Amino acid sequence: MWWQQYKKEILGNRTELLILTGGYLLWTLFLVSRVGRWDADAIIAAYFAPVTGIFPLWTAWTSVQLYRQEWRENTSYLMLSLPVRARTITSAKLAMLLTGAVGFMLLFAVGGWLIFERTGIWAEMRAELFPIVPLEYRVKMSLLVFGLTLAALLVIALVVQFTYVFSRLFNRLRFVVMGWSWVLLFWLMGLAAGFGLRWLAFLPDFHLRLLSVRNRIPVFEVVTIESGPFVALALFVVALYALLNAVLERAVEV
Amino acid sequence: MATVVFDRVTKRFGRLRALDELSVTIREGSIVGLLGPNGSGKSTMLKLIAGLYRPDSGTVTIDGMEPSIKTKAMVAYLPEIDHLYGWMSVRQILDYVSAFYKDWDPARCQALVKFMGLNPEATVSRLSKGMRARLKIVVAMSRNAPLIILDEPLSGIDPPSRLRVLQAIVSEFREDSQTVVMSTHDVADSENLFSDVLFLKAGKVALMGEAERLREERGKSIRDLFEEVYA
Repeated sequence: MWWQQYKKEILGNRTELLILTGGYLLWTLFLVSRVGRWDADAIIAAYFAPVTGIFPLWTAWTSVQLYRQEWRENTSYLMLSLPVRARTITSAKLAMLLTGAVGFMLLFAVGGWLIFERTGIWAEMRAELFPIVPLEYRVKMSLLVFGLTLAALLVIALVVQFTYVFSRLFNRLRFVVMGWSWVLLFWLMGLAAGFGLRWLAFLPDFHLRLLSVRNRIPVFEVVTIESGPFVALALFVVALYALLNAVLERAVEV
Repeated sequence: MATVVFDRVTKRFGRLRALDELSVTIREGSIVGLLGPNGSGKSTMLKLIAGLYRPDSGTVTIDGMEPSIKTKAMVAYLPEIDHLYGWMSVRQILDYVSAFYKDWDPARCQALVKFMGLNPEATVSRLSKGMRARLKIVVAMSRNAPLIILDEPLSGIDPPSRLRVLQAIVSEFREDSQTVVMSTHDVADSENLFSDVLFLKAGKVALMGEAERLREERGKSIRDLFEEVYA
């Protein structure tokens, strides 16, 4: 059942995914064609800067669309009449988003490598940075950035999806309800983090080894990060997901 | 089979009372014609059974259970509007829906697709309205669901499609194991289908009973009764 639901979400959004992938590839190829004509820094900025905005925007937009289309095209009648727990539907929609995000991040990494290679930055890094920065550290940091980006996108997706589904409980001013509940949720997340900092201080801290290069010598510094706020935020996200499922299963109508 | 009970059910939309303290029992093994003009509360009643609406007061029960995931597994629901994914092919729709129901009968589904003249590779959004109505009937009737609820299955479709839809309902209905509730404001085509009829007027029961007994008692056809009730 879950697989059918997931497949439906992927196939239902394939046109949008293909357009975005095509647009991204064209943009990358365009920037590659500018190597030698534009300054390398400008090319790299043109490659990296838009993506920082596009990822969260795509996640938020698609999150709304995944539900909005169900109501706009009346397929909510089918979706809500299926004999499945709401979590089957919501998790399939979230999984579709994460699949898209992982795909885009991999494309982004490949494109970044291509840009670095063509601008000569990759060769510089290979010659100067890689010999002094251990491979293990590079892999770990890449995975950490990858994981944190996915987690951030997941939170954005969940918050936006909840606000949309919650707004369906109202017959009027749905966009206002959505906007305000969005603001309220981020405020509550701030409160949860503060709560975690204060009341979950007994939890063990994270220790992150950060590398800096001084006079071509790698120096590791251990940074201590309190885990309380992260645990509190994780609990908040789990509670929000449970609430999303409860609203979809028990309150919302076609 | 399933018994559906509405106990003093009220459903409001703003100031409008779509259902007003409605109390009705639909007996199992019957084909109930839910009759009434637009706005009489027919679709609201069916959506409450399907679990797509929730009553403001009163209770709806299906075999003693309030609408839930468990009852959704018992109900085959066909809404009046097009509720199937337009970008899917007929085959994809049937594969998708069948995955959710244990009572899906692939052989019956195949036979119905053939009987309805549907091309499994056709895209749903490119089907004519009549063919989409036929596909909806295939989706609803391919199951051995104890309760089948059909909301205006004949609405706005061409005469050949109407005939096919009616034939499919008659041939696939299993009196010993199924209950069918079908709403319509077009009594002429479907009069002979119903074992029971329920006339709704402004969210209340205007008349209800076994179709044959009503015909005998009143000396009128259901169609004439319809005109009398809503005159």
